[in-house]
Amino acid sequence: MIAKAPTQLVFVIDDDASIRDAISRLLHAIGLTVRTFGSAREFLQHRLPDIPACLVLDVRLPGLSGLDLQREMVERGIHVPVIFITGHGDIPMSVQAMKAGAVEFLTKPFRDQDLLDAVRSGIQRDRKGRKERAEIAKLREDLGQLTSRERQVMSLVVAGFLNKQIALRLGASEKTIKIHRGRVMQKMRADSLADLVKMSQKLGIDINHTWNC
Amino acid sequence: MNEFVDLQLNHLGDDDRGTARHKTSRRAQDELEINERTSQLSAIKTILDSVSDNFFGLDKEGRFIYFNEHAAEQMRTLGRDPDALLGRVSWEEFPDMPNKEDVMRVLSDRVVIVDELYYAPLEEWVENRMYPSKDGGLVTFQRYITQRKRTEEELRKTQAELAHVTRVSTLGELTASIAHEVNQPLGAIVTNGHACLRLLSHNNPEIKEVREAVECMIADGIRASEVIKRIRHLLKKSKGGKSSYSINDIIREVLALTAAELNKNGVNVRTELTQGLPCVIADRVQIQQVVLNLILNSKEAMSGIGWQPRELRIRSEQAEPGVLVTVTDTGVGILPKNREHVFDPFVTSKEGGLGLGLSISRTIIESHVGRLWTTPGHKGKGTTFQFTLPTSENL
Repeated sequence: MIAKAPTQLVFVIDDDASIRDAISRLLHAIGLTVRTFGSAREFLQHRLPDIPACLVLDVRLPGLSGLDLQREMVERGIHVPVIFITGHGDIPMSVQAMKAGAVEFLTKPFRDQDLLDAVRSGIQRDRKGRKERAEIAKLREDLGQLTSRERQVMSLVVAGFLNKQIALRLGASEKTIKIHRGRVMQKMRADSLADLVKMSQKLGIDINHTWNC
Repeated sequence: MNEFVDLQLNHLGDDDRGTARHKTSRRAQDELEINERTSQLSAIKTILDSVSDNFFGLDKEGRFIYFNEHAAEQMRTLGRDPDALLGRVSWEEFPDMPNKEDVMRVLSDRVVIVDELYYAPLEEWVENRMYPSKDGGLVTFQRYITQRKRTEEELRKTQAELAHVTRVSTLGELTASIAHEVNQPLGAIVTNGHACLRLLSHNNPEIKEVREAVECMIADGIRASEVIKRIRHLLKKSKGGKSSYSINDIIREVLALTAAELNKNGVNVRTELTQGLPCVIADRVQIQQVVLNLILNSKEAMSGIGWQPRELRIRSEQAEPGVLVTVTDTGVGILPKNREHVFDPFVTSKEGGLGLGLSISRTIIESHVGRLWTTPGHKGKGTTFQFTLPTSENL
């Protein structure tokens, strides 16, 4: 049998080996690839492969707890969606976890279908998230190509100003603004004004930032 | 008048005659002295008869030579004539005498023996204080102690009840952790069961995988029942019987029960259990209660120390005599002025605590002829509790 590189992954962190192995076996039975860890620290030391994944995480862990790890992951820019599992359904704890963006909060013992659904939606969310993040990264790269003048023009265009108004505001001729505007559309690979507006929405923060340039 | 005093009177008479001088007034004087002695002895008899305890005299052959009035009364209660018993060998007259060996030892070894025994024909507990007498016999003071025994038994029962109640309430503190302990293997069993169903629904089920899952389910089922067994052990009412146990097993069982609770509180446990220690003679449940108490106290003491390391150390070792168990924590410690009061009942630093844990622990250890005490922990930080227990070797 040739080990095929997995296209998606499920991480499982539980300090209880029985639980860890049981979950791993269940996920494996439906064809998922699983990596298990006994502690949050162990997981953080692991190099995460660049494929869609999700994390099944026990709330109560020795050392760094599940909720601590969730925070730590946000700080470190680790975007793997989290499915919490817990021995006792503590409402404030589950609220905190869900607010922090958890996919699901399951109480042990859970129905296998609930876990599998959560894992599927977790991986789905990661796939979508990864796509969006890649898109934004690309847009940022494009935005980086703009001169500061072009950025100014772009923010005013997407804010709904006409070329004439922009020219007046920036103290340039309408013709010059038209040229800048053309370059913006080209560099940002935008097909239409609507397209550019959508892009600027995705880049929201960066656009506002350019106001002061 | 009974024979014992008569004998003494004759004896006195002989003695006086032997030292008599040849004087005509001598005889009258002798009579006067004898009268005086007689009245003295009569006074002594009155005193002895007034004592509400039983007073027996035996000669060196074990023959009855004296009963005071209460002892004579006891003989009559037993259907015997005290006067007829005088001069008779005690253990021949009373073959069911429960302390025959003690009586013979006082006569042969000339030692004082105090015994307590239940004398069935009288339906009474008696305490016998047996002293060797100068003439080679013995004197026995006998006192009825049934009432005292009953009070002691009631006290013992009350203490056992109290110990049981505090044990139950201590376990109550552990409920959440224990529930977790049971729920973990159950969770694993359910998930493995689901995995089995999924595996079996495949076209070519991997039997090896299925078998592994089933084996795990069995192991987890056993694990869950072990937890329940440990709790039931502790909840059982102590029957007061002592037997020999490995102190390390007792400690390990309590640690297994508290592992989740300690873990939840971020406590690191270090055990230094000496191998090959002799067995302790103990009431298992009670000693587990003491260990449980000390562990939970340590956990409590470490809950308020912020980010400093929380370490619980449990050591068992040989002591002279018996075994020594040491429980040390890195908690808040006990103020020197409070140190001697921690064993007092109703003294507690815990909110909602009964303040009975340590006082009962000390009662338990002392009833095992051991000692329980406290000292400051390592480098003056935290607290150390130590107790000793006798082993089968030194009992």
